[in-house]
Amino acid sequence: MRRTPVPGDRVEELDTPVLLLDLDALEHNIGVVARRYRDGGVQLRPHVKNHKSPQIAWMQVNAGGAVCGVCAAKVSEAEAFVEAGFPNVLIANQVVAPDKIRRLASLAKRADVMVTVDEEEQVRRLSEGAAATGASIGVLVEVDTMMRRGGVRAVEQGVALAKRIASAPGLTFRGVQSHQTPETPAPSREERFAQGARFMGMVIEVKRAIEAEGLPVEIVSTGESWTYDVAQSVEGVTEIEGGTYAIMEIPYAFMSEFRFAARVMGTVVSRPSERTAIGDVSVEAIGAPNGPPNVDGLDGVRVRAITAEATVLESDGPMPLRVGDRYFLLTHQQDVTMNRWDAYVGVRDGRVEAVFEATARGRCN
Amino acid sequence: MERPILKPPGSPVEELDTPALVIDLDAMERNVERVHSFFRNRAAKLRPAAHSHKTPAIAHRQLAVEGAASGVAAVSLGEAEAFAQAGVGDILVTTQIVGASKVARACALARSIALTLVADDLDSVRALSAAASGAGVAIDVLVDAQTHPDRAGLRLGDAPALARAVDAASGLRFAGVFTAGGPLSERDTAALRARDAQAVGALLEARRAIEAAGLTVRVASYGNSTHDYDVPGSAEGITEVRSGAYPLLDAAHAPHCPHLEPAAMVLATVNGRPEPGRAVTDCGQKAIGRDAGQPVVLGDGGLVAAANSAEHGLIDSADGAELELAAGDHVWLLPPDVSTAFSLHDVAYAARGGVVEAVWRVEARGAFA
Repeated sequence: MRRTPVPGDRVEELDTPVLLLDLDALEHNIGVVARRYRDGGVQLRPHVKNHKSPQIAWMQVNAGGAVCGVCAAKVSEAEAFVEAGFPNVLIANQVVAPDKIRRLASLAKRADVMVTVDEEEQVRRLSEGAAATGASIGVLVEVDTMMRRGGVRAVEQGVALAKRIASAPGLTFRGVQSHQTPETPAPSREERFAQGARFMGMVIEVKRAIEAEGLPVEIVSTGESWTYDVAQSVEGVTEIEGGTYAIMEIPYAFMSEFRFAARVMGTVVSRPSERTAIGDVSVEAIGAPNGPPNVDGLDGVRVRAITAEATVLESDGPMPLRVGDRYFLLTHQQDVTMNRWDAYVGVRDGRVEAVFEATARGRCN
Repeated sequence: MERPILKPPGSPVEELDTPALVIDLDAMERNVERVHSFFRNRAAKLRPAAHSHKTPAIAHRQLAVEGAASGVAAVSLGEAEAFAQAGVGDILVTTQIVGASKVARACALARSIALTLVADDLDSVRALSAAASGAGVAIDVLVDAQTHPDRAGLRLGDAPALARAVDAASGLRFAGVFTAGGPLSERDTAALRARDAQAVGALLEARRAIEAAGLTVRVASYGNSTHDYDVPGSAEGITEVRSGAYPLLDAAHAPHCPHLEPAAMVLATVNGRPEPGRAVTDCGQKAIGRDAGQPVVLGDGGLVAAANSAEHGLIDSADGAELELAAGDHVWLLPPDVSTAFSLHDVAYAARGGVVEAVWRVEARGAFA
């Protein structure tokens, strides 16, 4: 059987494929956001869908400038993080199934639990479930800013929903929430600030309209890693849902203050031709919904294809990799990659320092 | 593993916590019967590529249906270990085993099961031989012949020399030849069949060249064959065909396999309908996979699915018309790729007639190494 990596093991001796977490890079990334937020104003709410690890989430919270809680995508993720001791969880998603609402209400008796809504039927169901158990569930109105996913499409819709929540038994209206990816790939700093301010402005507009009706708006939870610095210049934002920055991914390279912290290490198992090498990292071990991964640290070598069985590496000149050599892959979508692994091997200076259990891996429900 | 989401046998599938991976047992059994019956009166047998489901409970059912070979194929050593632990006694690992640690694990595994490995490199053969003879085990080895540029394998002309080296190596037994067809990149089934017929011909050429060198070839194993298993299956000289997706199917294979039925799907819940023509579900990439394209909505016509987000799925009406879906409704989605879908779930619910009959652990999930 595979030997579990042990602190002190040399990285090149690990069985592959293995997901390596560069602890220097992870700590650097966490430090960049924490230093910016430490002096007050906007706070970070770490999004745990990105890494599924309570240990990493505590590192993010303990670094400072963060709420003492997390953002989760699913009820089952929230359960894992309440179990890991977080007193406050915002589920940035809609929850409608009766069983799930019962679980949510149960969680709400042990932690400050919040969820987002974008239509009345969700409010009706949440209220019914919360009232039946005597729990109080916090509810935020999700605002769509351009993704055309969840979220209310108009300001008046958000106001009506907020009023409905405020009057629903078992529910407490807490605020507004939104999520937004960049409008264009790799935006410049000016583009980031312009786009970010515009998207956050749409949420703030809903917040103000709700306040004009006499309802207090405690939380404006918005943004992502790519707008963590923009948020400080937008009045009214209380917290940023940041996740990607900790681990990083190829399409986020424009955020140059962050470093790539995750790599999948593979081994070359075959050299079928002069410019081709076959490696043991399959598509399932890294996930490639947005194209094949990049090879890290080897100029002129790239991934031609990644299949259910293997990585197909090709080179411009003669292939420098031989059978038995290691190679390192960087992902295009870190949360999908992290979700494929039961544990991450934390490394520093070429040796294993700690193994992080991905407690909430696979919790897609 | 005791989590509140798990539902016991006897539960109606509509009560499962979603997203849930559900197997239609009747459809799966019909698929297995259809494919295995092809192999029943032939020299070639079907070796299930267990990577497609990573679930021993399914592998045992495949192996129990006549027409199957005596064991399964696994992509990684870790998968092979998981299936061995679950009682499968004959496993072919289709990735070359490289490095001292993995070689030692392979030798340990060869003590408890009939293990077959593939090789295309002399140094790797030497390392394997040294370890196997040191451990006192005998490992069957197939020489991997390259038939597609995106695969491992030796040039055909080099196969006899490596076969002789394996044959002469202590601790190893030369067992035969091995290859796999390319990915399902072609949309045209006829083009795929022509490509595979050519690759099968190349494998048989390698077989003949090795036999001409005086060696006995017991095994000629051809894989990636759910879409056209009859091509290698009817070729004289092929002894086993490796297919993975045929019991369960998926959106990538379905167009090429009109005689098989989708038997693995994900039950999802509509969380809201933020626009008249768009519903948002709880089934994103992390519940169904998007490495091989988008899922397909089963049942009602006129709906287009996308797992564009990690956590959310989108369902649009094909013509922009108002959807009848509302918050709380269920939809059934066919995964783009069954192997990825199984890699995302801890359990699969095996159901018959809409009632859960068994809850199967995806034991080899995550066993990448």
